[in-house]
Amino acid sequence: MLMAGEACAFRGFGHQTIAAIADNHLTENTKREVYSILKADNMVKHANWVTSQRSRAKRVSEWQYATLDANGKSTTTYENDGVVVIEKAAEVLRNRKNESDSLVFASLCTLIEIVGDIHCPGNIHIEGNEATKNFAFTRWNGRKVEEKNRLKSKWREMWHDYTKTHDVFTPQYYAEDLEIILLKKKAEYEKGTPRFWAENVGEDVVWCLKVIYPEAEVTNETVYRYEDINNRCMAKAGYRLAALLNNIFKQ
Amino acid sequence: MKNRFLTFTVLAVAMVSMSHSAMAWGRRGHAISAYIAEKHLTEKAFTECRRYLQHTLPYYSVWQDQWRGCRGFEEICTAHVNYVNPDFTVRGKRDVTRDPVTRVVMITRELENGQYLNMPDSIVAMKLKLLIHMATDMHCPSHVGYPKEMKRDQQMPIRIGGRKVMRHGFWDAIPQTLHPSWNLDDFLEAYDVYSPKKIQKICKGDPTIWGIQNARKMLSTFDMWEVDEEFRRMDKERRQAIEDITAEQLVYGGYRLASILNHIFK
Repeated sequence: MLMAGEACAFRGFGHQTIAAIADNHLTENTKREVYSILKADNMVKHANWVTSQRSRAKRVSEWQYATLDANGKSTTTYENDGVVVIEKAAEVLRNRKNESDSLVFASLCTLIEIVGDIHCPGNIHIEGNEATKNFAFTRWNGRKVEEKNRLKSKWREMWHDYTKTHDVFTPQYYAEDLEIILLKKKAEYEKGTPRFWAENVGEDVVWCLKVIYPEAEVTNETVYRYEDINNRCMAKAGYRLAALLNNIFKQ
Repeated sequence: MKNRFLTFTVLAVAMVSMSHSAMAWGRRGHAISAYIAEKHLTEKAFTECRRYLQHTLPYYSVWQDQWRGCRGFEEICTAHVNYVNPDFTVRGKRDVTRDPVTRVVMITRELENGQYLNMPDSIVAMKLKLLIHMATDMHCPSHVGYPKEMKRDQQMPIRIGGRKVMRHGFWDAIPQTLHPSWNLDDFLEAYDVYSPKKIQKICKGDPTIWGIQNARKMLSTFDMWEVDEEFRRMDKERRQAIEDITAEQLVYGGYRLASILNHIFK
């Protein structure tokens, strides 16, 4: 379970939190439709469904990544790219009356998890920028230079670790925490399409990489301050997932 | 392959445990106390805490531990162990103002009677983060420092599944050891069971009195196991005694933190 959780972007708990944020912002009609498909009273329970399918279908492990071109634009048509997977799943849900129940269920679960995935900075690949695939850097406390105070860290793992710090929270409480400050940005965040969302996270990635880059020596303070970016990405994912589902099920 | 996986798993578990032992009560314990505190705040204190912190109390419950390693934060983020005299009053180690009990009193005095309204929001937020941590830190059994003449074996190693853990690390990680899969609501339901009258009694006095009470009470924790004893093979009664004191200290820390914040924002 732990290993499965670690394998995905925000970890299992982070995805559950994103689903809890989205749950808070579904319209009544969307809730009725979504919960009926899931046979549940929230989306949290299904937030790690794709990860749970990995042993059965290895290709789904690619879905968590979104690739941007060298200009930071999402133009890919690669079938296993996270954005393309979201577009296809959304299409199935829009056309749900002509699709099988199992495909509709799988598509909904895919949306719940992959919208979260493309919001994790560690899951954004930018063509021509090898660093975005993962790299090692050194963390230290900024005052003692002894070797024991220098820890090897990795870009992707850094993004996993933020949610780990709060893993005694319930997903609903973590969602409540993140919304204290970010709720007022909801209207701004939920605009756009999955391609725009990936590009938007890509902008954060480019900004972060100016400070944290391969072989960089980074203070813990910098890493702690980046938690705000992580929080913002999680809240964006929650609001955007709700907006996408509300749009799909308004029909 | 199986062996390599096993080795990796054991190492990973050990690393997680080590990261917990770096801070009193660990991340879990601090979050539990802060969560209990949040449930006992007045409406005004709750609103003000959220306004200043822009997060919940548990979110910042280990802020002080995280930031003490950062340049510029060494001084304000010290004060974790309540060093006491033989009569259990605050002794401090190098400086009494670095003692968590004294710091909690000082910060409360700086913020009370509406003084927080004259401070920049960021300063109030920082002082609240320190309070959230230290008011619960001082309730952790391993965070009372006794004078030499009263000390027994401060190390008091114990084993958890064969792994040797020192006394300090054991108490720091105890909420994780006892209930690794519980979340905040589970802990709240199990521990926050006192009547309003009893809570009032627990919160009577001030941090100085609570520090003395904790120091007196925590002496008994030196007798809870034999050196190198295996925790998992401990008899039911002694394991229950460890659970009871853990629950009591976590919940007392929470109630008292709430009473401090309610006082500041009354």
